[in-house]
Amino acid sequence: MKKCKRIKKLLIPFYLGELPDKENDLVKNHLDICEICLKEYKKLEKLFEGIEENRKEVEKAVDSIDWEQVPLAIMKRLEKESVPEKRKYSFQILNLKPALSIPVSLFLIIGITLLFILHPWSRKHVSENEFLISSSSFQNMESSLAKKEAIDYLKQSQLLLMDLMKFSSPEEIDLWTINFNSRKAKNLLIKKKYFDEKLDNLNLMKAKRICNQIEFLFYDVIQLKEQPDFENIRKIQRIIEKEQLLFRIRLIEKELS
Amino acid sequence: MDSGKEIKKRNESEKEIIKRIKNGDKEAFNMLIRIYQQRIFRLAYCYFQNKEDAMEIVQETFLRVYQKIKYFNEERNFQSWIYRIASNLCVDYYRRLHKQDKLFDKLKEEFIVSRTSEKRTRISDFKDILKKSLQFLPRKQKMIFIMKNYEGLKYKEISKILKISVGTVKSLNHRAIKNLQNIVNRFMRGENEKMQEN
Repeated sequence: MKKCKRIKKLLIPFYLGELPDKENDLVKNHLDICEICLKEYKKLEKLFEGIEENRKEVEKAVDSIDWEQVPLAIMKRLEKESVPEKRKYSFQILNLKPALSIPVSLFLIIGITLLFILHPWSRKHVSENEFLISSSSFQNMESSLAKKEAIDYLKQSQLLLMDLMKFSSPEEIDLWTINFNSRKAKNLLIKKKYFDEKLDNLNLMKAKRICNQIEFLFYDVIQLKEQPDFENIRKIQRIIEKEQLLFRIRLIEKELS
Repeated sequence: MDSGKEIKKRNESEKEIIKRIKNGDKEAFNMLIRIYQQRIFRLAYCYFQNKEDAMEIVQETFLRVYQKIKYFNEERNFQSWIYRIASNLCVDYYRRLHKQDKLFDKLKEEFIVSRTSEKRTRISDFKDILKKSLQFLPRKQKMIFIMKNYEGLKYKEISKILKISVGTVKSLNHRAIKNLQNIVNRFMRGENEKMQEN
């Protein structure tokens, strides 16, 4: 029985002639002696006889068709369907089906946009382009520069005025210091020209007022080079004291910084 | 069966025809239809068991071939390619038209009705039983069975068409035969039972 079970499994490849010689002989010999397996084999033969009969029917069906007409019918359909086919292709991207081409194209558009936004060269390009700085940020930059220059001007003026305040008698007058401060006053007046207008625009009126007062004083300081009298120095000292210039300079400095 | 030389000669002439089709030669396409139309018809006829559906598959296959031939590499086997298109179309067409369900319903009905005398004579013909039993096979087994036993294709050729190993093709063919035998036996048993009842 065990052998029959094994042989039954080999019947189909045996019938199809797919068994190696050894197994082929085994099945052949078994069929000579086993009626049950032979009966199974006969059923298989009958099945293939039926298949052969059906093949003949298929051939009859093949013969019943006018095959000359088939290519003509196909060519006719081809001509008819060629127009919508072209239209269909216009929706295709990278030879994908239309259903796929929509998400793929969306993905590509989003990807390219992100690349332009996030890529370093695109950011570099933006920073290099001066016209892309907004007017408000430009004003902020101008304001901070003007403040810096004003603070610097006030600090140097303060030192200069303090130097002048040191002279308390004609004997203490030092010509070198007077000459030095006179030159310095000249330079500071030139410097003031550059940030003076900016102070107008940026509503730094307090700073502007004190800078103007210092400016008038500096004209007198410059004159000291020509006439280094104690009387002239004293005159300047009195104005400084009267206007509390040193104190006010310190206050404005604090405000600006 | 074709000899090796004949196959080589056929492949060479096919290559020429395909090149000409790619260049827009419609006469060459006409020639290609004439070479393959009957083979595709046989495959589809065995699958659907009716001429109309088979002819629809033949036409659809060649339309598909014409549309896609620009992507076909001439160095590859054209027969495998066209058979693959046809077999895929058979399966799709079957599914699309829901014919399988309808056919199964019809066959199941015949199983039941075969117990009545008037139907018995209709399906008592073994050929008829076999044809109907074939429709009960799973799609892949059915396709392999038809290609091997009706079309006479070799296992290697079928494996190229369906892109599966030769061993799988062989085992699926054996399984298809076994299943077909079982289905036929069920039909026959129904017949015998009816005879006994009478």
